[in-house]
Amino acid sequence: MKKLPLYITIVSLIALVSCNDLSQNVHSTITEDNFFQSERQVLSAAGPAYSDLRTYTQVAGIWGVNEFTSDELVLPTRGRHWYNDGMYQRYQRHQWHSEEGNTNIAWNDIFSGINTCNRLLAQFEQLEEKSEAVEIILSELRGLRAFWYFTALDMFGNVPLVTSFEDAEAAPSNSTQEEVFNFVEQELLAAIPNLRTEMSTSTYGRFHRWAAYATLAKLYMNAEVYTGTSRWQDAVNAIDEIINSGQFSLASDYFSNFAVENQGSEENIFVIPYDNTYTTEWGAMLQFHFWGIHFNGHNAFNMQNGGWDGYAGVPSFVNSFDEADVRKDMWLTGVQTTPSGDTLYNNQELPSDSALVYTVNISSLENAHENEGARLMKYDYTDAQGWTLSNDFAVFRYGDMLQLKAEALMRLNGGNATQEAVDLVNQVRARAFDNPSQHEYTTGSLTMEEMLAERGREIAGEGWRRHDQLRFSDFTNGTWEWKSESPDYRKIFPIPQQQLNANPNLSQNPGY
Amino acid sequence: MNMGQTKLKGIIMREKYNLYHLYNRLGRKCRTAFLFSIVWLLPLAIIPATAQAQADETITGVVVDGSSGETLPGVNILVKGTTIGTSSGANGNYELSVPSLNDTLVASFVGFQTQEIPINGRTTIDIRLQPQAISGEELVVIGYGSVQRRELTGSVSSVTPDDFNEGAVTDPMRLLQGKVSGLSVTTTNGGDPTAGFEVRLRGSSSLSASQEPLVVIDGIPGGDLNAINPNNIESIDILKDGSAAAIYGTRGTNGVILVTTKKGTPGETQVEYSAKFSTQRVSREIDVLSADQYRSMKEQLSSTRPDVAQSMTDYGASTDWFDEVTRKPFSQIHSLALSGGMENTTYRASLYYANQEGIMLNSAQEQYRANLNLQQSALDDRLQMDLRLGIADANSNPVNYDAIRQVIKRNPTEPVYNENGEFMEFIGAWQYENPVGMLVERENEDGNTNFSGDLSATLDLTDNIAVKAVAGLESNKWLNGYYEPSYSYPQESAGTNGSAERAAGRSNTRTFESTIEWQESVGAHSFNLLGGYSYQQFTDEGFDAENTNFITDGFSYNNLGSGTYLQEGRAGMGSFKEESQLVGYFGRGNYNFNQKYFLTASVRYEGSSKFGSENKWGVFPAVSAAWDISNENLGGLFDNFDLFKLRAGFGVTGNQGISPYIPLLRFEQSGFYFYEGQFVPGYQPASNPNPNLRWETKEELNVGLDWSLLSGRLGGTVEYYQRDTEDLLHSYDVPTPPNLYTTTFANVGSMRNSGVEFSLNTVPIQNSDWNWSVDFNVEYRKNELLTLSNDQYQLEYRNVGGIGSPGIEAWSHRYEPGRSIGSIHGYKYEGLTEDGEWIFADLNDDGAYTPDDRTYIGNGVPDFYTGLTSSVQYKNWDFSVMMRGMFGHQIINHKRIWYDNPKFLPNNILESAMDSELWDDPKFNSSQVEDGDFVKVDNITLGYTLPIENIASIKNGRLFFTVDNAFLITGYSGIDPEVSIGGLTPGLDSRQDYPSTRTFTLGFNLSF
Repeated sequence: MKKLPLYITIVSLIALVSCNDLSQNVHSTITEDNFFQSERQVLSAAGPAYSDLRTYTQVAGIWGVNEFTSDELVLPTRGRHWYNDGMYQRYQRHQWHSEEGNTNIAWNDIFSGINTCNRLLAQFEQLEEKSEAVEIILSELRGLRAFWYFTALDMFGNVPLVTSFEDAEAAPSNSTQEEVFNFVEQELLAAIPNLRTEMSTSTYGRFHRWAAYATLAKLYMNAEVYTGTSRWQDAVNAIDEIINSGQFSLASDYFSNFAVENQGSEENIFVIPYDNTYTTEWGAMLQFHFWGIHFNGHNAFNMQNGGWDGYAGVPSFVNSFDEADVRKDMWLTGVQTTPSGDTLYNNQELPSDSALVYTVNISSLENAHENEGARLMKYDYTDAQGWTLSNDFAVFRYGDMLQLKAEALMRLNGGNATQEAVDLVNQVRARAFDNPSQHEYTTGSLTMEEMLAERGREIAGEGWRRHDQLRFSDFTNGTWEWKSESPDYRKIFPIPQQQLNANPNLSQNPGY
Repeated sequence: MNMGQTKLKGIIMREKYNLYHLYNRLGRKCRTAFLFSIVWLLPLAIIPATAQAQADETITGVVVDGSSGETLPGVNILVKGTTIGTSSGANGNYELSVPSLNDTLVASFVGFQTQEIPINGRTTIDIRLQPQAISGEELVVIGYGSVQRRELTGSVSSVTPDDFNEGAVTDPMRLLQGKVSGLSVTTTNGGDPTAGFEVRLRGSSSLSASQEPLVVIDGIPGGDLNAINPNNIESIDILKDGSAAAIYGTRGTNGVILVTTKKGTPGETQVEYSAKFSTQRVSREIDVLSADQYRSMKEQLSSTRPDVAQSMTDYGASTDWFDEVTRKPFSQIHSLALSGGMENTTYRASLYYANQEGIMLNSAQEQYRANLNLQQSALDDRLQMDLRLGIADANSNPVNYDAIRQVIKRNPTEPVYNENGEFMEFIGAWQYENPVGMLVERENEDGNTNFSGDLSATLDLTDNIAVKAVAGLESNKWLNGYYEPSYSYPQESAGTNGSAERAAGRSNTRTFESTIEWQESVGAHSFNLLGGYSYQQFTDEGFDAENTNFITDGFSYNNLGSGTYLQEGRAGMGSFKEESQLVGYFGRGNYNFNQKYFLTASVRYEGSSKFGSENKWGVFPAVSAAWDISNENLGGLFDNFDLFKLRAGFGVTGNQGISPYIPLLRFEQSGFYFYEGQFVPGYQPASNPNPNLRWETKEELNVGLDWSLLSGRLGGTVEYYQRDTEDLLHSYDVPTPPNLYTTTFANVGSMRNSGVEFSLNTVPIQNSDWNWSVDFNVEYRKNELLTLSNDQYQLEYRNVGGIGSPGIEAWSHRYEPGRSIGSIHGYKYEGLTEDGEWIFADLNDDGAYTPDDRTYIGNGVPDFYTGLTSSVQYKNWDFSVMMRGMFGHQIINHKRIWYDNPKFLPNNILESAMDSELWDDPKFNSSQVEDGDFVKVDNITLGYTLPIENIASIKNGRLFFTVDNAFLITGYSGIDPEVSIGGLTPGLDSRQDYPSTRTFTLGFNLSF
């Protein structure tokens, strides 16, 4: 062991050159430490609150679950397509269960939006110096979060109220519908004074004061559904704030609100902007066209990509439109041709030499033909490129608000129309007819039932039909083609099983 | 030679060992089998005949055992380079006529070293044969060193070139298929030349972290097997149990595959050349309706279902789409190796070329590999330097597996081409594309270049202390190109003029390791101590870009900037870079008392940058012991055993095979949002961060018995293991709110794998003309998920594996504590109604089919695995068969879910659906889940060794003919029951796959 010192030297040398550095070197993503350094980064961080909002229109998500359970739209199984384990049939029949995939997507989209708002609120509050832009964003985030919670309340009722990012419980439990209602109301009222009021490029697509009032109006309109206590006058007051702002007016051309370039609409109050260059994440695109149009039907509108031949109008709903009503044009029916007049053909189970003719009628929910059902084209699909429409989606529209005010006034008047209510409804309805005076309502003809029907024709496909039917007790009690009376507990959707599995403190909604 | 001496000069002895081993291997190769092409066979067959005709001298003598002096009967005596020979008689006497007294005799006998005796004009020659080293003295590589097989305490399997599967092999994993119990090498993509194998050792012991074994090439962890020439492999050793693998602590969980490549030996230059030529045929076709059957189906349905019959258009042609997308491919592989050296310098250099065509149109791969191993010794052999350089270049043309789905569903009455000579397409048809067009009208090239270089130096400080350091770089670069020309279906559908993509990247691994080793023998006690340090740094970076609308298809993907989408803001582009480090300190001690008692203990203290700041380091200890009862001289039964060794080991290993930045809260770009009149990028967290992320660890207990009888002619191993994986890395469901995302990557669950492995090696016949060996292995594996919850995370079960469109929302698998992963979950089929609608078991009796009616209907992971190799050598001929089987699992026959259903008309359907009563929407249920038991006769080789030594400078020659995937015995109705058995959704036989093929290979090896 004479050489022991030598060995020690060698081992020491090895130990010297050895490196124990295990720090994480991050290259193509940004860590929290080096983010929020500049105004630009702060504003970029706010982006997800708005890009999350694009999930609001998902056909396999919030929009689709609301629409396909209403009397307005249906996604029938067509030949070998669209069985999807019976999910869409169950939605239409009010037989959905707690493991429907699209209901879970809706939940995840809503709470992803809420969590993003909570996270950004926490991160922005920590900024030592808050610029004016940051202060504006902070109040917008509160408003957006309230909007998401309103959506959660409307769909799922007893959802967990989580309002802090950092102090949140790991597994929060349900709150009651009343608690959620109160939270949404308080948050909106608190945010309103700080929200911007002007309608300009700066506020386009952003949560401004009028978006907050419109959300409040929707909340109050269904207050009785959510809490058992009606708030009709509060709804009228919220809508009056919007009317009195003088910033909105009805478009003379109904469809101009839904055009590809609909940014100029003075009727659209709060929009979600889409663009086929910039807003291209799957699961957050505006794809009403693909889900509805026949595989071959895109050639009628010079769309770049073929449709998927899915949803269509519920026949009785489509038939509720007057022949003279220009709004009826939102439904595509009849033979489909290219812009140059060439006939388009079926290409699934129907003979491929037969012309593609959309019928209003749908012969079966289980086995419809490829051509059956009127297709919704309220938003213009012409020349659509890529995978998303570039039209901006109107969440709240002035016409909708005027109608809601009319309805609230009728409710305050024992369910009978007042002249003010009739005037408001006729004001919105006028542009739908060449000779409007022949189609005007009177205090006699504008019944509550007619009010619901007229609202349907005005805002079909805008995602509000279930909300309206709930208020008229028509969602569960109403019957149509494939829907018989359903139990009251189906007014709200079940909390998805996946969420219950992940959170032991969540309990299922009653009845499910 | 006693064991202490062997250990004394590890490095030098290893060199001697190589010489000795190589000699032995060549010797056996001479006896080994051969196949013959007509060209070679005829002239060579004449040589021994003429030689025999010239025989005129007679030699006599007696053969004795050199150690005992006893006479040896049955010894094989040959005239070298001929087939002239005889065997010694009962008293060891022999008599042989030789062509010339200048020839050389070769005497061989089982258990003895083969001896060459130049006649040198004598007519009486007595031969003394020396006993061969007892089996068990061959060295086994165990990571940072090697030991004699006899001294092993852990579970280690070794495979040498003699045992390798022959044929047109480019992926060295193929060499091991069916050879090692516990190691499954699964062909999951049929005959795709660009696809690899799924390798699992003792099953899947992780949910989300890596499940592939660690590959160590010549001591460098993490090498790319596909960068080395299969002909360069000297041996492959597989560390199976936790006690053996724990020296590779962090990455040892899935086992370790140690590859040792050949080195040069001093002496004259040796040249080895081998060539293989092969073609393939489809092994089983998919039976869909032929055009005539389609037409008769249409007629048949015209009365029962007129609307369906009407929708079935007869285009007048008769097309076998399967034939149209396949071809008769031709492939060739060449390998040239040069080796030799002087006393202090040896080298081996090799060049390898493979050009493989796949059976599907346009499917191909071309590869070059060059390797150099250079050894230099200095300071009186006390310093040994090893340089290893390798470069491998591969160009692959992968094809779109969706073509097979199109083949199945495409109307067989459609022609391939329309009247204009273009591919017949229906623009706007949903997922309906001409499969020939899909394969032909795409350019898809993946280029991959792998460079590896490392230099090691070993210095013997004293006779029993050696230090070693090795530094190396492995760099993998890839450049992929993809182009869809303007006339291809997707471009015509979208109205665009060509779409191009390019992607490039590089992943580098830098390694530095140093060890110090001390060996000592005192009397019957032998010690070996090892200490070391290891540093590895990994970087992974890449870039990709795409563009659309080109003025010409002539640019392909080579002029990306000229498309219009870039200017329109619609072209995609991206890049990334990731980095991680791994640092380890390790030590190991071996103790051996009198060749009877063996003890090994090791520990590795390792840190990985991938984990949370408080949890980066882990300790991975192991201990194992063995008792060789055959050396106890207990007498009786044990006297008959050459080896009877009991082993037991326990080891802890880790897994860090995850992406590197999970603990951090990171922001990534997430779309754009509308801000002040324009879209600006938004940033959001990439995932739920988990700063507590730590090692996934596995504890494994292994007990085994190695035994050997009759000088190694009968032997085997029995082993039992139980491996518990704790802190399973996985994405666990978390509530939203409060979390941003629905899952968090965390350490939660635990899982148990256990199994029994049994292997048997026998040589039933061994004499001068015949040698027949049979190697058999069988194993049983059991997996159980113990829990998926802890106090923070709760997961009752999870559904995984979407079935697909159209029409199916269902999941295919569910994993749940108390069950094995890979459990298939769905409706239970009970029959059909009169109208042909599904009847399933209504398990909750609610009168409707809801998710609650889904239940466990199978499992995709086999219970039993077996491999059998039988090799027969008769004189210069050899014949071997390798069979492989898997049993006890179920397969989801994906194709049947849609196409075994007449409702899919007018798209084509399977022949079996022709008379089906079914008329309902596609619903995933137990009738589409079939038993997957199979036995494959995987490799049949007939070989012939040329008796042409010293002719035209050729030292050795062998011809062979191989059939791969020759036969399949199974009750499974699909194409190939060999599908993925790993991951969370095993046993899925996809409708988008690559046809399984039978390969015929003709090849030869020559050495000069």
